[in-house]
Amino acid sequence: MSGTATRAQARAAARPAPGRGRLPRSLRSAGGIFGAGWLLLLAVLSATASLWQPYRPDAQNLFVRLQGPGSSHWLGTDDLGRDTLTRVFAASGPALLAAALSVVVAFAVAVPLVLAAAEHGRRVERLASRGAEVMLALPVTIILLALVGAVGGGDTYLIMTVLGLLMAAPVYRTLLGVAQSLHRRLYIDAARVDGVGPVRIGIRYILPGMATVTAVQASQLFGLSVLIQSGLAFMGFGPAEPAPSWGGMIATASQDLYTDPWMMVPAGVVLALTVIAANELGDALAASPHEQERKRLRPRARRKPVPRPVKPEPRPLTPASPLKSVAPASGAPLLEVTDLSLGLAAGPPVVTSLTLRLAAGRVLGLVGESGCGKTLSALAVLGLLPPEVSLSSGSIRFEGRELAGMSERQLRPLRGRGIAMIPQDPMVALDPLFTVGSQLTAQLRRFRRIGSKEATRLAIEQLRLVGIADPARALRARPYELSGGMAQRVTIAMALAGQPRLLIADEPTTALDVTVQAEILDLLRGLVEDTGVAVIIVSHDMGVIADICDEVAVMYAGHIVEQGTATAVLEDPWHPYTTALLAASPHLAADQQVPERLVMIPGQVPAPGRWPGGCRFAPRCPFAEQRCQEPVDLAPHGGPGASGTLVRCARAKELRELRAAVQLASGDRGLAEERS
Amino acid sequence: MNEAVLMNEAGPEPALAVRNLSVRYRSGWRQQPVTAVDDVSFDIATGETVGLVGESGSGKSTIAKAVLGLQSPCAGRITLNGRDITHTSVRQRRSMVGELRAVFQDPFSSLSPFQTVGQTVAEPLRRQQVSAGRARELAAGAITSVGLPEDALSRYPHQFSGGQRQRIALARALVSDPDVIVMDEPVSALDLSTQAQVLNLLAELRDRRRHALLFVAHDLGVVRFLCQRVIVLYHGMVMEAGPAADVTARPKHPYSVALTAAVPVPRPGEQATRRAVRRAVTAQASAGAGQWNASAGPGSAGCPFAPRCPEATDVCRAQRPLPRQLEGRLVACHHAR
Repeated sequence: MSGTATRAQARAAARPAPGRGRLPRSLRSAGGIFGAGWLLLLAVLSATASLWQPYRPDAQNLFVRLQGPGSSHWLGTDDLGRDTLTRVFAASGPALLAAALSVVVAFAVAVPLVLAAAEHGRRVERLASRGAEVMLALPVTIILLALVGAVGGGDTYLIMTVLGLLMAAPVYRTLLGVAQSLHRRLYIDAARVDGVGPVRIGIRYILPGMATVTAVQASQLFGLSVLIQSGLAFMGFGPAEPAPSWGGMIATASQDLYTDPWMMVPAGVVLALTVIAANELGDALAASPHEQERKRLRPRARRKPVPRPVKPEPRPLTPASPLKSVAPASGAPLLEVTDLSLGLAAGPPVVTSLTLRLAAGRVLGLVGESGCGKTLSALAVLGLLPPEVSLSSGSIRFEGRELAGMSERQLRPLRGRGIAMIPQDPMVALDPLFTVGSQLTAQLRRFRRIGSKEATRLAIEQLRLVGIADPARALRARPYELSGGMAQRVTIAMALAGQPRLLIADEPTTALDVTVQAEILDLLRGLVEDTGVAVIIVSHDMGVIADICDEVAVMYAGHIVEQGTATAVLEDPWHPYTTALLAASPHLAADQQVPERLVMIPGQVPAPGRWPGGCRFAPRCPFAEQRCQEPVDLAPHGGPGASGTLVRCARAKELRELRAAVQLASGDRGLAEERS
Repeated sequence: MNEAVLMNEAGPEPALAVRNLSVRYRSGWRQQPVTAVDDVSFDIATGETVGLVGESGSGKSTIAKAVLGLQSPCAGRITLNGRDITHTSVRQRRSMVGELRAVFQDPFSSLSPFQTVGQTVAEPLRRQQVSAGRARELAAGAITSVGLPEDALSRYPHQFSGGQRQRIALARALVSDPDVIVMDEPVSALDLSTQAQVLNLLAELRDRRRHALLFVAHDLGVVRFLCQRVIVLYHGMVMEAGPAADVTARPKHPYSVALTAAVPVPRPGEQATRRAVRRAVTAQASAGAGQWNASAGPGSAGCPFAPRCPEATDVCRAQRPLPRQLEGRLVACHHAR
């Protein structure tokens, strides 16, 4: 059987969501190929049985009873001399059909109920769910046996239909959860506003979303149904003799188990393979959405083991380095990142030649659009890169110690104590099951090795430090009882538990309201002033950067394009990207005039691996010219004066003169208008 | 009295009118209902863009949902082109597809992943018994009007970036040439440069077409850029309403003042000054009060903002201020002047 046929079958079995095409791909796993392949093989062999069967399934030959495998009977014969190969595959057709019937019945009952329950809300849902619970409480085997007692074992299809009805209850329970979560999606709301009725919403919007779960459930139920069917046949409630059934064949074989054990093998193996195949198929189908999910979450995967950096090449800063002009450092810097490059495993670089210096009590902002590598740069300092990203060169020195090349075990004592992290969304970072107090005191006890009483006292002190008005009450609260701002204060208190010298905050206020954001920024600023902690803040919001940062590094496509003090970079930018970012923001000071249109940066940030060879911003830059096709270095402009900004632009000086001229001209015009 | 002020002077009949709207949620059957929107009234005239601003929990999205029929109000009246739509069912709403449309916040979940862009954009037309050929024509027109190529129609949403998806969502709203478009945070999920592109597209729309736009946002800067009028909400109540330029540049209500001051501008110098002002204000107001939402919630007698307000006095805690007219806008504050 060709691979194409397997995939075609798989596609049919999986009922893929149109346009996604990911289910067939998931079946390319070994389990998926085996599962789909085996079931297909069984179906084909039993459907074409009349063409290849060497014997009739009920043809007896008492002279060749209980034979092992041989040339005339490949899989031997049973106690009446019937050909085992023929009988195994003669039994497979009805077995598969009956199992499929039970699955179809289960879904035919469950799916409409699920759609109705999800659509019509609480009342219908309660009625259907109570019904399902009653069904779940019924003992399936006993009911089936009672049914067999009433109608006899011969009518497999009737029994399997009843089994399907009973299985509808667990199917209903599983699918209801999926349907209800789909119902909360915005596109359902959008469809309602479009005037789409409930039936059409169910069929066009909810059903496709349930396809994967349905396929997984169906294949598992299929296996279960085959097993129950064989179990009944084994007990003698299967198709009446001489019709073959797997359970019946195993029962017959068990009578001669000690004298002729072979007879057990063919039917047993085929039955086992079929059940395993159904489950493998289900696993393969289930794996695909998880994989999708993992891919989606990948940038945020922070608890994954960190790979050892490939080849750390620490390069000390030479005195002649242009970086000297950045931030007149007061004493030795706390953090010194030099020429750091990060790359995807066996893939393109994602961050290149990143050089940062941060002194204690200073706040550094990394700003840029998403996909510029700012979060990865910050995570690299903590050694918390996602598994597929690794440090390819450069050095990270924290308090004089080289972090690049350190193992997870060596980094661990540093995390929390030397460098701590403030998460983006506090509600996700805090465990909803435990009180704030237990989470905070656990941190404190771990970092400071103190008793629980002392930890509680310290926790209250910490909460007061982060501006929580009633710390005792906050300790008793669970995270969901807190407002967003308070939750972020709590995570800041937790980050401070180990008395770190450096805080890394990845978009710490993005999830918060503006007034709360202002409070949190004030709090962070206050902490910097009072405790001398240094902060690296990652943000896409130029306003946040302007509010809290002393220094800024503007990142674009994996490297820094402009770097300097916040005042210099934001109020007097050199790089066209910085200028464009500032002009694209609708946030204006009260005295600024609202522009007719915002400045647009055409196109998108190029993905790693697609960066242009020259200036990476050139394709989106309105000022790009021929020499922008050459790589540009981060270089000081405007001399080593007050604004020692580093800029990565070949035309920086020119553009600045140009802008000054334009401003002068418009100023003149303004002046002239005023006069007239 | 107040309604007269909220009415737009330009048109005799507003495209969308909301009168004394109240919405209550009940989270559990034994829970006290929570008032999300409390007696809100406003009008939007044809061709006008009105911003609904507030923080989370201010009720701004609930108002949008009530207008769209996704949330049923417990009191008040919503009229669309003079027709009462407060309690219309989905079936009745089918006939309104040509009049009222929506754009939602998250472009990643507001488009069905199972349908092509063409199917999604043409969906509202198909509900109106427009012929397939005509629907395709209109969909193509809509998709090109938002700056996407026509072949986008045959692709699936996951093949587009966030900004492009939001353009698709906009095309879906524009395809039936509606009178009113409700936009619930349409740019808040987008990156800065993409946000600028979509905002400019919306500004284009505002200037060129005669739709009435209800623009829900938490970002005052965005509202200032796009809207002619703005309504500032807090705890489901209108705090201040008036011309966007005035309210954002010279806010009168203490809450609007706090809100405008909290939006950070990309100027370190100005932010330093603002921080100093903020610190003075927080030192003045009882520090940390209101953190627990122990504030005078909706339904209580006083001003909802009183617990956080630096200028609150006894009258604010005892008596809810009625919106009053002040220099061409409405302000619900005892002390504003």
